[in-house]
Amino acid sequence: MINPPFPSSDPKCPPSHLRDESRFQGVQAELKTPADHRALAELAVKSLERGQPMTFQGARTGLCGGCVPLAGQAVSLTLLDRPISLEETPEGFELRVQPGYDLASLGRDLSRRRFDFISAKVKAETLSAFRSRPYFWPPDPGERTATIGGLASTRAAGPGAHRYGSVAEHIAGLNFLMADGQERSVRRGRHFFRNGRMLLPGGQELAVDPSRLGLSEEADLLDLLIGSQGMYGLITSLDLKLAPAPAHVWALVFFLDSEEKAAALADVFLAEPLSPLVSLDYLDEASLKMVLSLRKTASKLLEIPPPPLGAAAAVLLEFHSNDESEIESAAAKALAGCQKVGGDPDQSWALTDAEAEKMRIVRHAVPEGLGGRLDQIRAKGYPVFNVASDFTRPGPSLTRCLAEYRRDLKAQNLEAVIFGHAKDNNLHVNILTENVSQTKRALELMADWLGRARETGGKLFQEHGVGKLKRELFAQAEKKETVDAWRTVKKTLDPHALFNPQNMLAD
Amino acid sequence: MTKTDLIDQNRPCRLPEEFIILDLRLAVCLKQVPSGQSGETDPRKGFVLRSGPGRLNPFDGSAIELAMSLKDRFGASVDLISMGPKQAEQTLLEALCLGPDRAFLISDPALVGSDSLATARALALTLSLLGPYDLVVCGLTTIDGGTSQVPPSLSRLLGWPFAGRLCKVVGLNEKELHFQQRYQDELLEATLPLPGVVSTLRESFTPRLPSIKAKLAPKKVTVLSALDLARSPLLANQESLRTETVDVAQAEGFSFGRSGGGPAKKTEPPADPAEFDPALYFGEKGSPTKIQAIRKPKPPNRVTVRPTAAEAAAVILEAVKAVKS
Ligand SMILES: Cc1cc2nc3c(=O)[nH]c(=O)nc-3n(C[C@H](O)[C@H](O)[C@H](O)COP(=O)(O)OP(=O)(O)OC[C@H]3O[C@@H](n4cnc5c(N)ncnc54)[C@H](O)[C@@H]3O)c2cc1C
Repeated sequence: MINPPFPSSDPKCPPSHLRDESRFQGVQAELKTPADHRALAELAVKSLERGQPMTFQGARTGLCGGCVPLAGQAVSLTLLDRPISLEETPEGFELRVQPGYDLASLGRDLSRRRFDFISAKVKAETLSAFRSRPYFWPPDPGERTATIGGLASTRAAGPGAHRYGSVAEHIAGLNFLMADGQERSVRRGRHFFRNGRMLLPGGQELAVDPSRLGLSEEADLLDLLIGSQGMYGLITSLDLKLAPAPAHVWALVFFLDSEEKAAALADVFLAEPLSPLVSLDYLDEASLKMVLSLRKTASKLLEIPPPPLGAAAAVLLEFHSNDESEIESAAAKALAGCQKVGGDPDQSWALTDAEAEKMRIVRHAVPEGLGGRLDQIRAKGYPVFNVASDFTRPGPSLTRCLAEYRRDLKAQNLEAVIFGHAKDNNLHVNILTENVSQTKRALELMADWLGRARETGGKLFQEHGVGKLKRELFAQAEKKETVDAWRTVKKTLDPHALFNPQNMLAD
Repeated sequence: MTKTDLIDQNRPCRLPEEFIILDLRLAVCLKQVPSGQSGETDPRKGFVLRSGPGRLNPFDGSAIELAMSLKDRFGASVDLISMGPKQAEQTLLEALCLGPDRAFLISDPALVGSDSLATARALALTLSLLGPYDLVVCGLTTIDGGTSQVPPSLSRLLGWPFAGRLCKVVGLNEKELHFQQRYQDELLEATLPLPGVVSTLRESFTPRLPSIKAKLAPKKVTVLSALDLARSPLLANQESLRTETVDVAQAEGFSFGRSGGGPAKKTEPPADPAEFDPALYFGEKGSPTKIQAIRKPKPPNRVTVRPTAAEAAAVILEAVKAVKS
């Protein structure tokens, strides 16, 4: 996790393309920015013929160095940033987009119900049916500048995963450029495992036990490609499943004066599910302080009051429903829950509809603030990274899980910023280190936690992926047969190791 | 910050000077604006066409916050007053979640298309009907109209002093408000005799967010018609609500300080309301619209005695009809 912060001296690639939000530093690479789909396909085919490695880049907001090149070319997809077409299928509307189209543009276009399509073939009746009511794309990862290609490649998930799952559940298919230079359409259920074998679109066979990859027997190629961090090929377009937007959205924030009360409150909501609940998140005191310190510079936060004095943690909920009275009764139950754990109902926020965005801004400020803090430490000369957890730990209550983390951190004399999703204890424990010895202890602790999570059926490297930053942790935490299974997939789909070399698996 | 942060009610203690309960009466004037980025306007008449959902004018959030922070610190009642279509009731209901005591909406088909002076007049009538108030707080401007004229016009109509661009309250007692105001890079400190009218700088008072308890509590907005306003005591001194915008054009440049937006000073009520010239009362930002000609209607019969409600209503309705056309 320590990587020298040498800036690029290569004029072919600006320094900003040699890093991502993890601050992992790449080495010389040639930057290619194809302007359209044809230029991209030509570039990829030529590179494959010449044996030149490619590292694909979306918005470079990844947190594991996945898009950071260590050799060959950095292929930026940010100019392929438009919606392609809209279709009405029996399951609903599908929006086809280029990989560089970002989450903010998608949100804007959906809310104004107008798209700047590349294709002129979108039927007028499809568009008018689409405009008859509002639609949304349910996954809500916090970073709005992230591209859809990047989100699919990391299998990103937002707080709404509580109800809606990750991006994987909301992608109907994608076009994929494979190692033979051919672009193929991959749709749900078309290529699937049978007795540990899958017939791939090019005709080859992939022989691997899906359970070793953490996939179910029913898993298909789409499940394998979403979250693959660009290791098996290039995503050239994606079909997003749109869903009717809920008529009412409420965001509730409870501020509690102790971590114990906040964790107990989240446990109350987990034990007695509230029907319109779509997300349940937790922010600890260090996270709230991060929000407070970012208020000095982030203009969006200036419109939002600071957390109340004395707040030691917060529990964040979001409700979606077409029936506002259903939300109101859930909010009343939530309020009763707050009183039950000894919280002060006046120390809360209720934000409705467009105002609910304010809660997302607060939550997003925490990882953003962490990035800023990393820069401060790195400016002092210590090339540190954020040692952060990204796994589920089903089983124990949030109260117990948090208490364990605090106990372990204290034993190692380490500090952390803890925030994340309460369901299955999918918390991001961000250990802040400022010297080599702290980093070493933090990595050991993380490996220990990953091991415990794996033993209890947790999913490791859930939302952010492994990339290059967490390769060693991945190799340490996963069983050997799992790592070998992933190697088999890589060898079958990318035999010459030209797609995103060094991601997840060290050469 | 809430009242409980400042005053520990369980601990009997002498309150520090600044926490003395004054029981002032505060009013906040606010407006619902279109939810979208920019409101469409009627190309001929220049006024904003309203359709679809609305939201609180973002500048007015800071006005509510100033009033609520005074309520928290000094004890006060806070009334919200707005003029607008019936759907503006929703915005008032949401604003009530921030803690004000009452909300009033002036809504009457006859008032559709009111310009800034007609709006100020309707608000002034309402304030004197519901008052007496000690302080009226307004947002600096609106994101749709953007004239900044209503707060200073209001002060003139009420005959109260005005202070614009408030960025800090330094002190308050029954007689005066001690404040800071910011003009570009200049920070001024002054005192406003009460009753008075102020407008707030948006960035200086970040609006609080509603608590869940407040959101779920039952709330009520009282809707007033033009007929209700006719009972306003202020009407005894006003001859007509009539204004007629003859033409609206983009102003070439702004000049600061031409209006009551400068340091607070006591203004006299207009000797003859019919002579009232709104061009003198541009907001402190300057007015983006220039009223090129004011056709001053000859006052009907000079009102020397207080009219009956029905008589006054007839005058108002006649006046606003003229505004509409
Ligand atoms: C402040 C902040 C908040 C965040 N919040 C969340 C959150 O709530 N949830 C979450 O899951 N993540 C979150 N992230 C992480 C990040 O936004 C996601 O990982 C996102 O998916 C990355 O998208 P990107 O476009 O920036 O991809 P990049 O970082 O550019 O790339 C990510 C990976 O995808 C590969 N890739 C990109 N495009 C393609 C393509 N077309 N074909 C093949 N491979 C490709 C890259 O090679 C790389 O391996 C956050 C990050 C920040 C900085």
